[in-house]
Amino acid sequence: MRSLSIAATGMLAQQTNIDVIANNIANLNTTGFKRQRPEFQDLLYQNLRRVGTASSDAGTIVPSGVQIGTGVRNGSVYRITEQGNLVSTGNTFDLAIQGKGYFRVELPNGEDAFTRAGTFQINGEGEIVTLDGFTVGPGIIIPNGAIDVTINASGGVEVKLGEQIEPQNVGQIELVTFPNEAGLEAIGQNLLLETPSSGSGTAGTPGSAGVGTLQQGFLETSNVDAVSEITNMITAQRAYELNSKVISTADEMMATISQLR
Amino acid sequence: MENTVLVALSKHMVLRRQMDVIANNIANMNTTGFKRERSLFATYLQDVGEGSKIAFVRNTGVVSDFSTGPLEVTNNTFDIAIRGNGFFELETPQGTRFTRGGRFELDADGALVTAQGYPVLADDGFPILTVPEDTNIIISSDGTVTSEGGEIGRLLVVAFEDTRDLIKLGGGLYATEATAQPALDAEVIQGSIEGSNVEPIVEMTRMITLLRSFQNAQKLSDDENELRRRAINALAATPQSV
Repeated sequence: MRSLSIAATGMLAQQTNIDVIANNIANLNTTGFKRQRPEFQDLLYQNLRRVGTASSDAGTIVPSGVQIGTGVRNGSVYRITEQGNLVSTGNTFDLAIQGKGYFRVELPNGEDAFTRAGTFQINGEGEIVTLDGFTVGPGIIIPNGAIDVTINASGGVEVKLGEQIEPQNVGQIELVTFPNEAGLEAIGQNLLLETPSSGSGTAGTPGSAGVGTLQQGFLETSNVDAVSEITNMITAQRAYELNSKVISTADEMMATISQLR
Repeated sequence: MENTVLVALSKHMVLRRQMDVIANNIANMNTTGFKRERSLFATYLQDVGEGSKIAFVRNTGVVSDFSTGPLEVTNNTFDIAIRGNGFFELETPQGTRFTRGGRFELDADGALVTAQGYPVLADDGFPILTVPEDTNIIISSDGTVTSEGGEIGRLLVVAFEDTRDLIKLGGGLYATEATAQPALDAEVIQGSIEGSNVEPIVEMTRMITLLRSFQNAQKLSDDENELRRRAINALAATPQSV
């Protein structure tokens, strides 16, 4: 009885669906989080009567054969890279990206990771770092005694020192863009890694062609929409129940068979 | 004289196959661009002499219902739905394939591809290629893809005279030997995907009806068995025991 295994693939797919929805809801307040969506595909078909075969010597053909599907599988779980809302925090080192691009973060193992969560701070050496203490590329040091730090829309970092009248430029934050953002590999802690499917990143000045701009004192919120997640969850739960009904019906049919004398 | 049992058996066989089709429909309730399927049955007549015929049932086909599924808004740039009759044309290592599942993305070279990585073709027969500078990509209802840098290409949407020629390959893909024609009444919608057109309530009621028919067929076999048992008892009874 194929129905049993077909319904099992259906239940499995809905389980994945719920897992993804649960993760989205859990990250409702995660800065820079991009919601995910599972993508389902139908499985292979079994040809019990092939379409297009001859049904007589006169050359008539079978218009629609008997193709029985074998269920569903989870094709991919992809990130929807829609812009999240910007919320004002008033914090000097909170940066939000409006448009395309990622901050480059230097991991302790020397590799580069990418993030859209701009909750930065400065460490003991005055360097701009992430919450985990990783350097934000290209590594900008705020001099000791700086009174006022301004980061403009195109990433220029300017500080005002003591008695100086003119602000002094101490560095330039760069953003990295990818041909296929959905292809980046998430490693947790809001960080993403470059992969062959994301394509190689291109570093650019914020505000230049194809690169977003920066907003100081703001953070990009998670783009998860609670209402749509809950409705998705209801649909997924019902779909799960329906698949279980298929299993019980198939079971009843088999019970009927076993009662045959 | 086995006819009753054999007729009931033919019914059992097709109902089990129909159950498989329903199970597959329900399993694909959330599959992008999935089209629900229906089993077709036909009567098979057999002459049993004396001018009477008995009718068996057999499964002659499974057809897909190509009506448009509900549109689900995702606001994702490369989620593209087709309203009306039409398919996207894909280039795969096995040849040209067609799909209605418009969940696309860009690959490492900037080409528009499906989730399986097959390039989506433009009306000039080549994949749609973007460059990193292309931002704010807009796809209009006739399939024209434009960015701030200008027009990139036009998505090829094709239709077929008879959708029954399409062979389902799984993964939302179809293959065919029929000639594809440009779709005339199809509209492309960006930021949406077409959901599965399976209607759970219809499938559920069909499943209940099916289960009852299955039990009826079993009742038929049982009754026939009982009839025969009685006949044997009556006919084979010796005069002493009557």
